[in-house]
Amino acid sequence: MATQAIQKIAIVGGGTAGWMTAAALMKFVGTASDKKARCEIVLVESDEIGTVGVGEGTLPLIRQFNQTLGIDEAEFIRETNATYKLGIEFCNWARIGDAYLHPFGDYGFPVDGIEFYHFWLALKEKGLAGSLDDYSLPAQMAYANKFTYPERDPSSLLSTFSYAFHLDATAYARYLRRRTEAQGIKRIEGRVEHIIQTEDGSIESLKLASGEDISADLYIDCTGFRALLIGDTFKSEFCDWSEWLSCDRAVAVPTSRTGELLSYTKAIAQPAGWQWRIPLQHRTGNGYVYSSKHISDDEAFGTLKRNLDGELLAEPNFLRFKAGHRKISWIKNCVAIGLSSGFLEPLESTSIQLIQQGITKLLELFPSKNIESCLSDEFNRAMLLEYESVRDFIVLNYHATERDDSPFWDYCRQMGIPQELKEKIDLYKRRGYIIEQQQALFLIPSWLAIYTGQHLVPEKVDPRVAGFDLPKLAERAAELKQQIIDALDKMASNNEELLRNCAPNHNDASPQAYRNLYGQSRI
Amino acid sequence: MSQNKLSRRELLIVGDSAETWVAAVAVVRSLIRSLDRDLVRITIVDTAPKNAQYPPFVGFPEDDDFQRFLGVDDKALLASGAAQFSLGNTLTINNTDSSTRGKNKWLCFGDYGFTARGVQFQHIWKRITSEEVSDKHIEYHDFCFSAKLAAENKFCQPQQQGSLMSLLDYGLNYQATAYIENLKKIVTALSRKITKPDNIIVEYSEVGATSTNNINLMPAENGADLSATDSNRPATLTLNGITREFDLVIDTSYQPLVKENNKKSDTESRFDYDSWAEDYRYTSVEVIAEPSESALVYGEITQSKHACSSSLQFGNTKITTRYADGFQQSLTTATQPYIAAPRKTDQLWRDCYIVMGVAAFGFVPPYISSFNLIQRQLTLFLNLFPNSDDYEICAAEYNRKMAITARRLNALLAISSGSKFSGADNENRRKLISSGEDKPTMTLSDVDEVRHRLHLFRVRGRVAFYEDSLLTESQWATLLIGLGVTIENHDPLLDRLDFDKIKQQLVMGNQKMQQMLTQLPSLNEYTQYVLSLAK
Repeated sequence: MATQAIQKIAIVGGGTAGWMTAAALMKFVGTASDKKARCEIVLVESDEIGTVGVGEGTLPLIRQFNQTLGIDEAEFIRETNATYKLGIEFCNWARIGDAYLHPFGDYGFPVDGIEFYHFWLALKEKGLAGSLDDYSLPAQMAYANKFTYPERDPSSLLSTFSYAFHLDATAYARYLRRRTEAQGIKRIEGRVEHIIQTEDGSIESLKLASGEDISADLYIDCTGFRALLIGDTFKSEFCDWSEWLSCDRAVAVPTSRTGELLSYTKAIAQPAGWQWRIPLQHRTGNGYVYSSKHISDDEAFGTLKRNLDGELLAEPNFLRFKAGHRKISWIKNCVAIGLSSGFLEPLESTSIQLIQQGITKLLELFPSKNIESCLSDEFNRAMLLEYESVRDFIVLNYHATERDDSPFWDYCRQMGIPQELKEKIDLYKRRGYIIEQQQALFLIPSWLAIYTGQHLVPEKVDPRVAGFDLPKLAERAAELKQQIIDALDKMASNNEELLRNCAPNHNDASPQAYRNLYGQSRI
Repeated sequence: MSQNKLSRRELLIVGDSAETWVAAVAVVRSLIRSLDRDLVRITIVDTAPKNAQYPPFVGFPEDDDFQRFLGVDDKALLASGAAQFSLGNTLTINNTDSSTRGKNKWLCFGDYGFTARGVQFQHIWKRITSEEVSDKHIEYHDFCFSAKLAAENKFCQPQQQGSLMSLLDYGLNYQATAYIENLKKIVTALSRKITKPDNIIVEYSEVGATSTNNINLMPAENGADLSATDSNRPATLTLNGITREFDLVIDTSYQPLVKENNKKSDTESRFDYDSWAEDYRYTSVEVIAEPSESALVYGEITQSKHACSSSLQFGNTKITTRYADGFQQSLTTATQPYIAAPRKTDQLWRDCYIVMGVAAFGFVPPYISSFNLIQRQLTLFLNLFPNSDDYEICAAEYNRKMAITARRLNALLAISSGSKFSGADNENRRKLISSGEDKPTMTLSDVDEVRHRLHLFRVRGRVAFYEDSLLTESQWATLLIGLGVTIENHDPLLDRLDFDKIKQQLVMGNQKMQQMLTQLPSLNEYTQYVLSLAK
């Protein structure tokens, strides 16, 4: 084996980021049939330092991560009290009183290469079509509280959606910790007090409060908002996006479960931000993401309390953050993953996805001891693209509002937005065209869900639509609507499916994960 | 949402290139319903000289969907010898660098080796060659089933997953003249299917177009400056004494009929190599046809410092296309070169006038599919097909996306033309290639695509991700290895795997491929078999 191979990795910080990174690194570099080829991995965390612990929504790509690690889905659901997730419902975002779903799946059917929504818009204007959700299987499944596994056959209606989970992120981290400790990872309880650097600026070692020294070839900064390594030590510049994402606080509190388990997250817009409601098996996760300029902590908690369904199960956890991203997340022998790398509010459940993306990129570009700058260049480039694309999607949610009932919403409605996003919105409003970036996380169906839900109606659509026989297309759309209804009739309830699929002796029949949010049609 | 106006739109497709007819069929097909409802009329004006000998179309596996959409009769073209199955190309470097001169590499379609727990094959190959102790150099293509077939001029179409045959992939090369005739027949057939056949007009005019008023569609040497006309809709075309007006003009001529606006672009390029990088475009092409004895299931590419040639053998005809870039400016021995004058990307679509094909990007280098670029342009244009009052916004988005494609093409050409980037007498190119290799970590805005691609691949065998790449990751790896870019270090994740087991798998795989090879038919035999099925 090359003598320049990385032989020891130190992960600083636990939580979801730390343990997801640990689990992936154990899989790919920590285990090898030849002991000499194994990389030693240590994780330093302190029970004194709390983790954020509120990241509870995920995207369908989490399934790919779990499957890569060989995690049995049934076991995962039991261990993390997870529930199925088919999308996110946005309430009161465009106007008070309305609601729409951002589902994990596609809408309708393309015709001659033209996206369905062009036809839908034309049909709707003539009163020949229902709401957009009528043509989305996952949306209807979510509202009917039904569930079934997707299928791979592209001719099947069941191939047009995907699913993710609501989960207890703390439990997920604990689960991954148990697995990786059993595989040989060394967990060190302690706080990092000093970071010793070499002459060229690389990290030479970490000194813990206990006096212990830890030296490694590669350091992963999973210290969350503290960004102990990438921020404090390397002073990586933080790109502040708060002019577009002005929420800078959150208050989170669990409540008892009430009613039936839902298969979607609720994101309810409030006067100074938005409230989340996430159904888990054992409780409901709640929180209010808000702007401290527009509301105090007490007022925020008061608003949250007034809008809870169940009983409080714990004291509120208040968090401070700033939306943005490190300009450089990999410097020399330090790679930041998770909140230390950047933060975007969990409106679209992207936090765990961004951790996953960081881990994936690190493995693709895994270095040797002599860390070449082109690897970190590529990593930094890829992560910045990912963060910016997710940022723009989230900003859209805020900016495309008609609400004028509070200073916060006035600000969101009137604020300047990133130029690329402005161009995207303009093009959609003028011409009904949705710009799509290759390999972006959110593709046409997602943008369409938000545009439509926020009442952005294009002035014009694809002129090719005028050549079609719209009544015939309306019939076809009606058939699809009925097929969806028929498919729902055959499905079990969300609750039944969940209990069955995570039963202890149940054989994992979950399908192979897609590499996107939508199922077979967008591969 | 207001209703689209329902008055008939007049669309003109004009040009003297092979792409003129590709554009014609794609646009007619896409607008067939609108044609039938009298919402659109399409005029196709073919200004090519008689007996034009176009470069053949080099096909790649990913062209299949587009060819099906066009409705090309592959079987008829195969039967006449105007189409040829292709497993890829050989590449010979012919430059001053003796370490790669004359080396024959296979750039084949299909799988090269396999991926081991996420580690791509080029790393496995790198480690094998690093450890190899015998005199025989192990080539990358030694593990490519397509390359093995190609070397023996055999062929078979790929089959289902799980079998050795699923490792294959192929494209179809086409002789341009016959292919274009096929496309013309498609247009004729389509016009017969619609209730308003007069909505598809085809005209031929070798003389070129003259015009009066508004947009002047004139040959470039007499062309008017587009900036002189503010209200550029409708366009007018005067042909054989008749002047007509158009709402949209797609110009696929080698040299755009409307001259480029000489104003400097308002958009400052982030990458200041744009100005010289465009010189890498192939702007001069010569096509030579000569007799050959048999068809070959692969093409032959020879890459020199400023020029490149690609030979395809279709049965009894060998067609060689010789390309020269802007540095060379012309082929010194060319008897009848085609000269293209590609435009700046922010001027590809101006108001109602759109330049596509060779006039947008120059001649397509043989490393990418001939259909790839024109398909991108057509697909984007059709998805952005404008209403009568949203040209500007559609054009802005079109130009933005095409600018990205142009960057990808510039980088590809700079890399392939630069080869080992050695001894280049071009100061800019040498500086570009060697600069920045020891630079500290850079931010996104500073990264140069060419330098970064080469550096990342050389240092680590990894293909950099860029939006709208013209090649897949695997194709990039094959090309860079073929161009002589040496991978210095394999993926360290490979060292965690049981490499002996991987080597065994490779040896067994190779043995199976060799055994299978003996059972497979020759190219001619397989072609006859396919044609017999069609009867």
